[in-house]
Parts: sequence; C-alpha cells; structure tokens
Amino acid sequence: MGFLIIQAINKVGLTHTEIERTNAILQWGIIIFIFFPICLGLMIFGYYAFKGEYEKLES
Amino acid sequence: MSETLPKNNIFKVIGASSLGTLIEWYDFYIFGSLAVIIGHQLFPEDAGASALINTLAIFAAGFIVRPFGALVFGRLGDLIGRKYTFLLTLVLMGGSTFLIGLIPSYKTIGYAAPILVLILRLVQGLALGGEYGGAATYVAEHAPKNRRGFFTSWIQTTATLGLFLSLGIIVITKNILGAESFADWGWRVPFLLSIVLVGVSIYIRMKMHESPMFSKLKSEGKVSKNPLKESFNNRANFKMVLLALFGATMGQGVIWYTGQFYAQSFLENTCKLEFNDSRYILLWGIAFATPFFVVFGAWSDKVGRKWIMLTGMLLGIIFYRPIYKTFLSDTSEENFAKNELVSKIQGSPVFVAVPNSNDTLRTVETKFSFKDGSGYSKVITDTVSLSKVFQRGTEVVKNKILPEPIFWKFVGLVFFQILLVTMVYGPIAAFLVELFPTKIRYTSMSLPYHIGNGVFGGLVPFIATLIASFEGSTPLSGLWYPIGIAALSLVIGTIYLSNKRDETLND
Repeated sequence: MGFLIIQAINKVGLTHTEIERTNAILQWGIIIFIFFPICLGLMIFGYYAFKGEYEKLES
Repeated sequence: MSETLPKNNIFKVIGASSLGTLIEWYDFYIFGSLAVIIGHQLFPEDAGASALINTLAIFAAGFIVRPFGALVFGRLGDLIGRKYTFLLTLVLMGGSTFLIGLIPSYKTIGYAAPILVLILRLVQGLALGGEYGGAATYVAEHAPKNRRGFFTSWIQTTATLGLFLSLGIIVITKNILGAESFADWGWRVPFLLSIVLVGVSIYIRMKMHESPMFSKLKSEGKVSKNPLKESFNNRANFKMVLLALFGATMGQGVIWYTGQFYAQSFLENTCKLEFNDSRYILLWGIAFATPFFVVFGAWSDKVGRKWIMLTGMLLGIIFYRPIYKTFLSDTSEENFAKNELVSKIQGSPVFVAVPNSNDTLRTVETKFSFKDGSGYSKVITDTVSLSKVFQRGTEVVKNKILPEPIFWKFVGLVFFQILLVTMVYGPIAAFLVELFPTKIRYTSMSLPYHIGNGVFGGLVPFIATLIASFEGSTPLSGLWYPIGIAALSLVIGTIYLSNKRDETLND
C-alpha cells in the first residue's frame, strides 16, 4: 500500500495540466480504493495461515 | 440429483449456460476493442473532459463494478435461484450493449453522449460480475460428481471464445465496410448485432429449469437468509474466500490477461505490428488453444485441480520474458533490414499548422517492402519554422507486416501463452464450486473470481505501463507484475491448496 501511495503522489506530481491532474487523481484513487481492502484481506489471510487455520482443512 | 440427469440434458444445460456467458463476454470485449473509436465519436474533441469520462467508463467498469456485480447478483442467486438471476444479468448486458450502439454522436447530443456511455458501460460491468458465478454454479450443480471439471470447462471456454468472436466480428466488419466507414458508423454494427445473439440466448435460458441442488435446498427450507453475511462474516467460509483469491484466482487472473490481452496489446503497441496482423495472430492462437480448456478440465477430474493450475502459473513465470523478448527482437528494424528491400515509397508531405504558433508540423510516411513479403511504414514528423529551418521531431515505425515464417512463429508463442491460460482456467470453475456450500456458493465464488480476474488481471495493462515508465525500465519490465503476482499465488497455492476433490458437493 505504501508503494501504491508513493506512486500515486509521484504520478500526480508529474502532471502538467488541470485535467491531467484530475485524471491521475481519479485513476490512482480508484486503484488505492480497490487495493486497500485487498491488502487488508491479504493480511487477514496471513494471520489465518500463521494461526494454522489452513492446516485443519483436510480434516 | 445431478447423478440421475440424462446425458443429453447436461449438454443442453451446458449449451444454454455457455451461449449466454459467451455473449456476455463478447459484449464486454467489443467495448474495450473499440474504445478509441468510441472516444472519437461519442466524446468531445478536447482531451480534457473526454479523458476524464473515458477513464471512468473504461477503467472503473472493469475494476470497481465487477466485484460489486458479483456481490449483488451472487446474493440474488443464492436467495431466489440461479436461473432467474443469470437471466437478469443477460438481459442487462444485452440491453446495455445494444443501447451503446444506438447512442448518437457527441456532435448531435453533446455531453449526454459520454454520460450515457459511462452509465451503460457500468451496467455492463455489473452484469458481467453476476454472470460467471451463476453459469459455473448452474452447470456444476447439474454435473455428475466425477466429471465436474469436464462439464464446467465448457463454461471456461466462453471468455476466450467471446474475445475471439469480438475480434473476428470487428475485423470482418472493418474489412467489409472499409476503415473510414467503420470509424464513422460501422463500429455500431458489433454492438447492434448483440441484441440478436442475446435474444436467442434469453429464449433458450427461459426454457431451462432451476439448478436441482438449489431446488432441493429451497424445498427443504434451507435457503440462506443472508448470503453475504454467511459468506463473509462466517470465519470458516471467509478464510476459504481468501484462499480462493490469493492461492488461485489472483494468479489465474494475471495469466489470463497476460496471455491474451497483454499479448495482443504488446504486439500492436510495442512491437508496432499492423492492425490485422496483431489480431490474426491472437485469433489463430485462440483457435488452436481453446480445445485445451476441456482437456485440462477433464484431466483435473482424474488428477485433481491444484497442480494443473499451479503448473500453468509456474510456466508463465518461467517463459513470459523469453517469449516477449522474442517478440521484440523479431520485429526490430534491424531484423527487417536483413531481408532484401524491394521498394521504398515515400508519400507526399502533409503539413499541419501548430495552434498558437507560426510553426508547422511536416509529416512524411515512407513504406518499406521486402522480398519475403514483410514491410513497415516509417513516419517522420519535423517542425518547420518561419525561417524554414527543419527541426527533426519524431521518427515512428509502425504497421509492421511480418514474413510468413515469423507470423506463424508468433502464433505458436501466443498459442503457448493461451495454453497456460487453459491450464489455470480450465479447472478453476470446478475448483471454486467445490470450495463452498450450495446455499452461499454463488456469492462466495463470484467475489474471489472477479477480484482475481477483474482487478488483478484487468490491471495488467495499467500496471505494466506504469512499470515501463520507471527510470531504467525496458519494454519487458511490465511483465514483472504478472510474474510477481503469479509467483505469490504459486507459493500460497502450493502450501495451502488441497488437491482433494469434493465428490458430492453436498453440504
């Protein structure tokens, strides 16, 4: 997530016109909006895996 | 119930489900394929507002809306049944596609045009989000227990065949009407054609009966009262949703999009192949590889789903960079120059005034043809100032036509990539269906599927372009995204996925 946020700030900063800036904010806003819950999901998956939840699957 | 279904009936079920799903994929893909023309026709000429709405229409529809569609229609499918839900998705998709073909141009109705495109595109994304889960669930719940992979793999062919159909119809329409007429009004034909296809599919689906497993559940009063809560608030089920996403559909999604969309886009935009050549290569690759969806789906019934899918991801990780390196090297100017030059025809210069300036852009296109039938165009754009000093601007090579041996070599390389697609995608419908209980199956399997494909897969072009913009990157740098995501899925899937097949689907 940190990488995505840094990229978003970087790319928005590189824009020259107002419309380019709005476009970049919109695109990166969508990306971060979508990936934030996915990253949360990955962390939860990691927590479950660490707890051994998936080792109980076969039984 | 699925064990007693006569054989010809299961093929009717597959046919009815697959046809509708194929048409929905066709509807979704023609928009992406014709996005540039739609931009010119239905959006204002100034780049500003059009780019904004274009971003929303193309970008948001694929990423945000599909998972929402999965939740909305998944829930509906688990509440009221599979049949009526994915009849609804078909009506929504077909209707919105047809209406896109009818939207008057921006010159006629102004800003209403792009706004209508945006709304209808979002409806397409929503409908697609609800379609796949329903079709896969519906077929799986009819299939005999030891042939679920085989029968659901027919559904798995529909996305690729939908792409094939969309490319084919666009190429045929454009070649019949000519490029100019196609850009002017002919682009509407593939959209309008959809209503005929959808009409047939709706007729067929109306005659289908409900899934026997859902009917049994309903008769026993065991239908879920809140499928969303039971899917995602129940720890035992939620952890399977996460495993399905990170251990399977995430990797499958990037392999799917890289092998088909990214391959065609790379050939056209990076290698600069001519329009028809880049599409014919993909069409041939799809034609040769499509039967393998069924081969790997059937094989997964014998050996399990896990290792076939993960092997597809592993081969993608190993072979993507060598394949795309070959695309680049075989289409380089140096490679063309090895052949005997037959003709070099320079066109007349075209002058275009630069707005708010005394300068003029001078464009000259030169066509090179070689003895082996290959060729390309080189477009040189210079700036001519008042003092008549020529300032060399850009030099772009485009419209490359490959010699026949290289053309078929590229077909082989694309075929191989699509073969990997069949490995990861062929068994995955059966895999996802077997993970979840009947009463929340439609909801639970749809979300990881559309996040894996819509988000991770759909973002392949965007993130590949982003990586290519980094300092020190090469045209191949964009491949690190699908390689990295597939590697993560490979590791998670290897450790945590079970190869055990759920024979009965009973809850």
